[in-house]
Amino acid sequence: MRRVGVFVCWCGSNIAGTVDIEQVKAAAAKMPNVAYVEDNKYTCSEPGQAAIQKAIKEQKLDRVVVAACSPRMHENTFRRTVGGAGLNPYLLEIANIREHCSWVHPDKVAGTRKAVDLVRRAVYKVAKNVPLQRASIDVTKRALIIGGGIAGIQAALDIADAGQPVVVVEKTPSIGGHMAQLDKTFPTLDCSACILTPKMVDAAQNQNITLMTWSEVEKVDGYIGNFTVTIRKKARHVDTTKCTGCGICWSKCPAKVSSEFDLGIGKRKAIYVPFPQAIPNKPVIDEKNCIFFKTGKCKACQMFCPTGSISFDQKDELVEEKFGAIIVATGYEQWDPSPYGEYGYGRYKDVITGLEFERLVNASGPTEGKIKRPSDGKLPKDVVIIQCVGSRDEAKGIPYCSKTCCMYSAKHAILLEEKIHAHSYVFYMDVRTPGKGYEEFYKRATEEHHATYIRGRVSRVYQKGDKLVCLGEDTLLGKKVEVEADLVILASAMVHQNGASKLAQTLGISYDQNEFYTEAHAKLRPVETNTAGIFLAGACQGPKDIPETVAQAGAAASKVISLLSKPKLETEPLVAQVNEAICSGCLWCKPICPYKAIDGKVVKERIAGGKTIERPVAAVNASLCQGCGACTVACRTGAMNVLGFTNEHILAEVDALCL
Amino acid sequence: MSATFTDHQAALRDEVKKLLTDGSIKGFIGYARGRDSYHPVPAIVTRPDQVDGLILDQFSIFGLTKYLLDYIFEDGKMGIVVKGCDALGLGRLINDHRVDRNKVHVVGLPCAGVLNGEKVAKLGLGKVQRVTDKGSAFLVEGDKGSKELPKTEYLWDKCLWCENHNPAGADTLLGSEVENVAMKPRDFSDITALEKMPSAERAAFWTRQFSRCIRCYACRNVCPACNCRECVFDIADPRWVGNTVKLSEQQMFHFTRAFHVAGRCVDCGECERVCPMEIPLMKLQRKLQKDVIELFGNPKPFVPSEVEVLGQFRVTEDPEEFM
Repeated sequence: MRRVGVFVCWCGSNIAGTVDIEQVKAAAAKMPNVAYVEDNKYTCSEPGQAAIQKAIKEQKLDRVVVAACSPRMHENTFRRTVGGAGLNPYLLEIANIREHCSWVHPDKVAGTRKAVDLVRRAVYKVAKNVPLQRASIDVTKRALIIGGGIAGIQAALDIADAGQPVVVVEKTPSIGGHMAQLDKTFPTLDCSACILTPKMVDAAQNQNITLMTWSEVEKVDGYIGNFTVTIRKKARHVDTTKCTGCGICWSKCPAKVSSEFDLGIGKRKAIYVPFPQAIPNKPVIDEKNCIFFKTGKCKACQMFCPTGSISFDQKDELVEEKFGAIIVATGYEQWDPSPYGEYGYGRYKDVITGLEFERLVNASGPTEGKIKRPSDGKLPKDVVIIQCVGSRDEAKGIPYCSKTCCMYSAKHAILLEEKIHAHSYVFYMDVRTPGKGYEEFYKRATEEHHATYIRGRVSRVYQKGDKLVCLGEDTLLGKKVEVEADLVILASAMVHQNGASKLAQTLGISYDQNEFYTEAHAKLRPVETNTAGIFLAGACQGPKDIPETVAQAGAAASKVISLLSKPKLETEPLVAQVNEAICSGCLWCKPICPYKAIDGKVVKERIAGGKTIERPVAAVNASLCQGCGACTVACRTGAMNVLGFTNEHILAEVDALCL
Repeated sequence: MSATFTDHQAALRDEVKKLLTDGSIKGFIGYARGRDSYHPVPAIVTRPDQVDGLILDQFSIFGLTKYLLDYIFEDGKMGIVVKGCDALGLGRLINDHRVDRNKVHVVGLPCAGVLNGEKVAKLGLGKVQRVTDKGSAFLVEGDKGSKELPKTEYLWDKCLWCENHNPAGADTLLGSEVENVAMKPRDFSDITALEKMPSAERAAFWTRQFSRCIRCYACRNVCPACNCRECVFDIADPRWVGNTVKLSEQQMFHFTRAFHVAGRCVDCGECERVCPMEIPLMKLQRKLQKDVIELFGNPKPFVPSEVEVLGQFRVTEDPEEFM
């Protein structure tokens, strides 16, 4: 006979509002093995937890059921509570009578009945629980950061500051990311490069930081504390140990191509650094456009290089590195607004995106900061800025708000007025300014810089002479509006990085329908992923501006620092276990395991007659296993069990609910 | 017109004698005469002097591969004779790591179709003297009469749509390969008809079938896909399915077995053939075959392969947008 204590939580009125707590208590008291029942206004509060510990001691409880919110919310809290009272933390079950019951059932009678059922399920299950022990594993004291934008740089600096080595893998030739492309930053209008480049230099000079630019993550094996990552170092064709970044090579290179960094507004050479402040300030050869790689002739760069750094036969190199933790900071891409045919992006040269405007207004950009419009180089007098291009548009674009466009559009209006006295007309759906100093900044655009804000959408943009006529509607006045503009800026949405889903699959982390990576808990675990040891920073998780990105990068870094400072890691014991006695060794569980945690092994045993035989069975690597249970379903015999959720447990629950 | 099984009998005996004598196998699993000439039975010989008891005739339907499981921990090799359909069963056992291919000497028997002994026995032809392949028919000559039996009427159903007449990967092949074409296309019309039935009617149909089950487990015991070391129906704790003869338990048994075999069935039809209560078990399996063909685009789900349709996790090809 067990002695189960049942603790029913009110959760204020969250549960007690639609579930009759007294009835649940009375029913629980009659369930088998239940020795003690108590209710609490907030079981998760300090007095609530103390009450559980007191009851465990005084009532000599050996199992605990907490009927409260989702186990994802407070299971760990209550495990600690139970553990604190001397019980094994896994002798606890949660009956979720909030998310699964009170929140979704307005009918108190039916809701109460369901709550009783859920408690009975937990009581039956907990009786079958056995003490489980956490194992400990070693930690590789080294972090990997994927992405060298501001998120990656900040996280790397923070981790390095704590004295832990960190490797930043960046797929482009330089760190810096999108922030390096921006001109000024809202809401203070300090120059992006002025605040970013010192951090880039710090990162390059920090002894604890290794930068691997022009590199990509190819494969990730292992688990928290012990990741083995294969990194592809793409052929740079430049020996970075010899190159001094003098720039002779790119000045001599005859192949001109459009620059990705300048979004096609400017040109670069086939051997290039993406921008003057690039780090490392060492060029790469773009094999696709290099004349030598195309025709076998040229080698101008090699001829002129004073240090002999250039080698055309360099090949991609695969290196395998070990890490204890990973931060994913792969950022975002600007959405291509071509689906909005009516705006004429791609058809009219003077219809540009917000990011393109950043290059146009940037002092180190292709126009040296002169806002010359692309078609004829004239300075625009009237500029139309269209907000929510792609954002909040399920039909043509993406369903979510890109969060940064209201602010950067206001910034563009301010810069246009400040620099060239151009007048901006901003078409908006809503202006959203929920940040410190943001509303004031928007006010400044309208009041000090006289931007005209028009609530409504532009229906069509067409060319008339050298003007772009924008037809739209002012929905506040209920009138049609027509603006003749010299330049149209589309505040295009922020979308996931190219290949975001593929990287997620490589890493084994989850992503949402917009291909942004999913955090473990929207509120309480916002920088963790569901895969232990992998963390998120910046816009790869969803649209974010710079302050938010930097804050999240710091948060992710602190998680990594605390992980890497532990001498050993404790593993979750809720993993799959093979009953070797009945396992046939068919290994159907092996290919279906998403975490590659299962392999075959051979066991020896004595059979009737005293003979020793060898036979194959499945073996689970408990450190890799995440306890998802796919293998238990694939196993016909039932030889595979997830501890804490064994076949016995499931049957007990079914019996509790159905019999 | 191919050679009949009987034409290979002498060659088989010679081969088995040779293998047993030179010690390359320690035993051989084949057929012996049963209660009459229409019902050969499985036989296992371990000495050369027993070999003359082995027979081969056109009624040798019994799939023998499951007997290999009795020898997996023995030293030395076992020999076995397999038709095309049996070779798929052997493939199943090998893919499931239940049989080590290196410990089996496979004697392959090319097969132009097996006569349904149950049907032919009823014709009253007496003791069979000779069977000759006449192309579209078998001429069966017995001591009480002879008759030309059209293949489409007197072969087992599975032989008609069989596309595996020649056992793949045999160590020794008896005679030469036969023409490998199906006599008619695989036909799921009976399954489609069942699918179209109103659910109450369909439930009544299956209730009628399963209520006859006596839980003898013959279907499981003969099935090459039912090869677990310990069957889930034999495990006492947790007891997923009770072992009393009760409709709900019988249904649970058959549904569970069907799902365990789904995507792994080799279409040998043995379960249905051995069922003493004549439950049309292949209808269940063929429904699942049809689903695998339609849902997973695998035209031959009954051929064991390196990558099993229902035994993999390929996240990169997951049609879902997010995991």
